[in-house]
Amino acid sequence: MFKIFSPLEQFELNNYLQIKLFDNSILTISNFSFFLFLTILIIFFLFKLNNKNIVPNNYSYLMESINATVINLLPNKLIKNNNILGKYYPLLYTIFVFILITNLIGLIPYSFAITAQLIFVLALSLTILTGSIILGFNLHYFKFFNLFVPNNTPLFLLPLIVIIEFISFFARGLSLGIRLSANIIAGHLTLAIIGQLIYTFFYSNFSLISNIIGLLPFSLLIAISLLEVAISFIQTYVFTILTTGFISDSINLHGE
Amino acid sequence: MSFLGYKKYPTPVLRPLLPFIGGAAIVGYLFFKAQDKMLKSDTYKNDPRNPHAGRHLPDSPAAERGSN
Repeated sequence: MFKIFSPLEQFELNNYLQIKLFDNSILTISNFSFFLFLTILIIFFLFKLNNKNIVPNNYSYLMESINATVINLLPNKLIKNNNILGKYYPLLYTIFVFILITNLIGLIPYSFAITAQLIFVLALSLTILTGSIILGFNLHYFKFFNLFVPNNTPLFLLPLIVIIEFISFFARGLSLGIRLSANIIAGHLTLAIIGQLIYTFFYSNFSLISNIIGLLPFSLLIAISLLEVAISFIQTYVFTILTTGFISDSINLHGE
Repeated sequence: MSFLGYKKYPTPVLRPLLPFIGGAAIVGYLFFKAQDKMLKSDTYKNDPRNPHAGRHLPDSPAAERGSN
């Protein structure tokens, strides 16, 4: 008999260090904060342009291509007209790079996926939602509520439509976070479960047939790992483009 | 960060971020309040993972001073 480990153990927070502060609170350094600081360090030291050289090297081309990917998320017409959406490009680039690097670091075996923590990703998406609401009120004052009234709505349907639009606005903010977190959790769970299956095939019964059959889930593991890399990129792209949509809706309401 | 050798461009970074900093402050306050409530709730106050397990947590530092 061998021990079966729960595939959910990889998402548990383990405290490495606890420091008591003066007001009875405890500052905890856990695997979450460790990998968060690691991500920030990697981004800080790795993501920079080669400004000192006139001729760009291959690394500069990579950084420029990431910049181009993010800047192409912004709708062209808004950049040409008054460039108001272009002011939010640093925020969008930061969100894109941060989520991409955390997703990719989470794929390293025996590391920790920060974006698998729902509360963290939900806090990020609700911050973006709240920020876009504050931005909308700042630009349009009470005309911001025009966002909840679609164009050409019949008058008798107005109360129902406004309630539905109100709920859908907040549901979009929640779904932004839950989408990313659920995708990463599902992928990591699948990898853990298939890993357990391979372990069962290779170590439970030392026969050649079970080892040969075990090659099937092994190839599946490789395929799903590649899929997880693709999902990391796709989910980053989706998160950033939806953030752009939030900010664009707050600035332009219904395209006025 | 021109002190690190980077070139300065006049891109407005902080001013467009102010609504989102405000949003982060509101969301942070609400999340910390919810966390505090959960830590003191009957379900989790004696949980071994709770760093404050077994200790009486006062509602505020002023209430703690008042009890002495």
